[in-house]
Amino acid sequence: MTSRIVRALAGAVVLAAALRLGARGAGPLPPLGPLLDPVHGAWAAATHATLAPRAAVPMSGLSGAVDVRYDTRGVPHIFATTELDAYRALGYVVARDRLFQLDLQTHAASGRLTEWVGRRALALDRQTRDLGMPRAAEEKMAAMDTTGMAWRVMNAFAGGVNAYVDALTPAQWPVEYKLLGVRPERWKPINSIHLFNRMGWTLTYVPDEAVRLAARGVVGDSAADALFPLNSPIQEPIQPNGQHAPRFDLATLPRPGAPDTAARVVASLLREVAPPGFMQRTDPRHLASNNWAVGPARSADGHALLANDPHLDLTLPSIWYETQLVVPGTLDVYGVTIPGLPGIVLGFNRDLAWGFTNTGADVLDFYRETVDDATHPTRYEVDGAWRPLVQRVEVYRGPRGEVLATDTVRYTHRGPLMHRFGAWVSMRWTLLEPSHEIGALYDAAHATTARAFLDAMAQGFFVPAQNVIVADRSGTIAIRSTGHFPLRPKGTTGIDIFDGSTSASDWTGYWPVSDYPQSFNPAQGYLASANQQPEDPRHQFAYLGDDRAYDPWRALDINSLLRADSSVTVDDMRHFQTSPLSVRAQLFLPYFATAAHNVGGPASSPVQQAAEILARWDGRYTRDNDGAALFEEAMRLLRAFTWDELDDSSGRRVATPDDEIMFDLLHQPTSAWWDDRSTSGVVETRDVIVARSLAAAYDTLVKRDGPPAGGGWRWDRVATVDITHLLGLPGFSALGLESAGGRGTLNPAPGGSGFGPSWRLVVDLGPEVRAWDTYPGGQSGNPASPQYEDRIPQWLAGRLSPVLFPRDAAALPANRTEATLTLTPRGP
Amino acid sequence: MRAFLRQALLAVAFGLGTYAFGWWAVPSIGALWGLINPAGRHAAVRAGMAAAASWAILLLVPAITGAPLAAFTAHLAGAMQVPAWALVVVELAFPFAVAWGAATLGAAVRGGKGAGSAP
Repeated sequence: MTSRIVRALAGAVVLAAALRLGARGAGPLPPLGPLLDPVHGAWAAATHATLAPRAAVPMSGLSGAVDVRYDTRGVPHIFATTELDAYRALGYVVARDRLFQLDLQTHAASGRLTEWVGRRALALDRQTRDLGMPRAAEEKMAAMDTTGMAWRVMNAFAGGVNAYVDALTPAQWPVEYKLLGVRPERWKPINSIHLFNRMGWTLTYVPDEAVRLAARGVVGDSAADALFPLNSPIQEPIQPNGQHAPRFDLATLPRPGAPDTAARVVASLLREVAPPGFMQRTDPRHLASNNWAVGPARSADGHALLANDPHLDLTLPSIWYETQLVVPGTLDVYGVTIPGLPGIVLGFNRDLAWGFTNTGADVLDFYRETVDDATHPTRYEVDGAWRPLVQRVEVYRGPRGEVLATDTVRYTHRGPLMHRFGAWVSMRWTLLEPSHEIGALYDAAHATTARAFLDAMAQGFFVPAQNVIVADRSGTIAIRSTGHFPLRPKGTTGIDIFDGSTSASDWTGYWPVSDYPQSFNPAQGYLASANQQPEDPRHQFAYLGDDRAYDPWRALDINSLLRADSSVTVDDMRHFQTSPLSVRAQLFLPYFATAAHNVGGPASSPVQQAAEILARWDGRYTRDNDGAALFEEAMRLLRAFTWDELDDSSGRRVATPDDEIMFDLLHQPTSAWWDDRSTSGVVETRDVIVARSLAAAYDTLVKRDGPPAGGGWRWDRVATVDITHLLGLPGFSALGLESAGGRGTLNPAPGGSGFGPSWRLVVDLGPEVRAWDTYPGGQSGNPASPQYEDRIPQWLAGRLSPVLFPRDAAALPANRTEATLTLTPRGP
Repeated sequence: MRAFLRQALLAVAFGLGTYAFGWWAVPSIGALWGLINPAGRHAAVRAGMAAAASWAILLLVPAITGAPLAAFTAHLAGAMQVPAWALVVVELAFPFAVAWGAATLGAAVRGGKGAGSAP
């Protein structure tokens, strides 16, 4: 009897524990039952790894059959009879390949990650909602014309996603759902707006008010303003200035001055107010891109050529999804979309091609507000009158629907109000204001000329501001920095914190399109943007953003390449995209050589050894060179040694000027900035500090990577690239990839980072438009699929694939067709 | 031979049950097995082994027919930050434990000795 009870108890305990693990999981473990189920669990990803060669799916809402042909690169070519059917099919095929990505991005963009992962995501969700992003999406949605095409396209797209979601069995859920223990959600049209907002957040640049103020706090106003200028001292702007060469506006830097203690206090305040995603970014320039176009007069085949490679965080699956939409007589567009957006974001049609780089405009301002109650304000003061604050209750729920937190977010007429250090500060941001990006992309896809394309974009694409380049088959090339740029009170810039108690501080509107930085068919025969300053301040100064948003190096590189080649081929364009040459290195290298020569020393000394290595290096970040690692370390140490005046009393570096300023300082060999404050009785000069940086870099690398002859300094060993899964899961990521390119090159691949060219496109605008492209990833979001990361080797090698751009389904070669999907109208 | 056939049939039952109803079929069939076979020698262990075998077969069949199971196992294990062999062990141990526990409890409810074998 006793043993029976013991057996029963043992069975019950084991069963209970197993069922508990199976149904609920434990700690970080998801429920093991549905995860390990060999038919419906994680393993099902492998059994659904490839597309069925033929599939037919009935779908509600279609007006006619849609023929989807997947080519051998996994690109779906959608052939429909109406545009709404095409966008409905787009929703379906995107969900089919990238459902988890759609869902995850939407949860992030709407501040609902806690509903999947609980409290771990509360801070992230709070940031999203405190910024007012979900509210802004709702307002944009409410303001849409429900009879317009943008509205109908969004709804058609949602219908397509939901047709896929509704037909899914648990076995077909992407593996990530099973690992998280959650299930797919139906798609809402507003999600597309959430995603656009998220992209705007990613690409929003906030000028470093806090950095400049913090610098004022230690070296005074004059020095700080010189170290962190509004305009880049190296000018080769997007809108050509007719100089056909970069211009170096080098000026003598004022000596370090007396600390401005008031500025230090405001800097601290600003750092607290600014959302972490902005001002705590270590290097906003990491989000960069290139695009350029060559007119017929400078191309080998006499056609306009266009290239684009947006630089973003590299993820698996990729941010991009490649597709073609064809509606005979109406629409024929090819390119990449961001999964969840109903339209082609970057690409080409039968008449033109386009690409974006980020403008880096300052479109976000802060206002110090006067409120009626320091702890629970309900009103704020403007022009001596009290206005009510809009209050919105934000509820954060956990995976089981439980309430994790409830916040009240307050809004002035400018935007969300935040409370930090006893002050109430509101924020105005173009992203939170009415805009029509989906409609703009829809209209632009139909354009047949470069000008019509840019005008369509200008009508509704307000945020994130982009340098939109376009080339058409008539040979026109054009670029325009497109977006809403605030008109601020006269005499102010966006680097100020405004007085919120007066309406005189408010924006008075937006720049007229005629004032946007732009150029059509310039005499130089080419156009290029690489996130440099859009306009030459000598020609027309209007505050758009400040120097720290603009990176001149890649612009110098591409302009130099394009200037030197009057017969550009498609292959040249591809080579330019992956050029490892660094103008930045070429500009700085002579100063290291000079310093080593001037300080002298035996040939075996670290400084001379290092100088010899750099003398052999050609400034190219190729995989097998060993100079780039030394140069980058020397530059890092040069910044560290030089700007010690910017350390506060605790020894913390409050701000570090950009390398353009360092380049400026190198022309002032006896400047006070070269003096090492830690040495007494001696005043260091440029060559001493530069040589010291070089020697220290050599020693550092020997210690870290062994002697230079050992191969440890090779760039592809030092500067690997990580392409990380959206959840950061190492098994689904591609880590430690060996790549060429480096900081400031056209093919940026900073070591140990997950950032770089997220897509590469080259288009030849001949009588028949031809294109080549690739991106680091693959079309499928399923880690078990052969098309999950199949393009990475090609991307690493700098190769492109020719794009299939059929006019109709029959034009897609059978031997290049991997699968077909027929979507048919579902009967009533 | 009969014992083998019974074991095979039990594995088939677990397999079909999992295929049709998901992992909850394992405790259900395990418990049923314990209830209808309370006096069976090592009945609970046999249930556990049949469940584990059925899950192994459900994975092997698609692998043999071309699904990239082996490669995916490495990726999945990497995602879960465990060695691939550990994932396979857990994959088989889990149905074993569930089926054994359910069969043991089922047999005990009927008062049989089939629950007498330790896992």
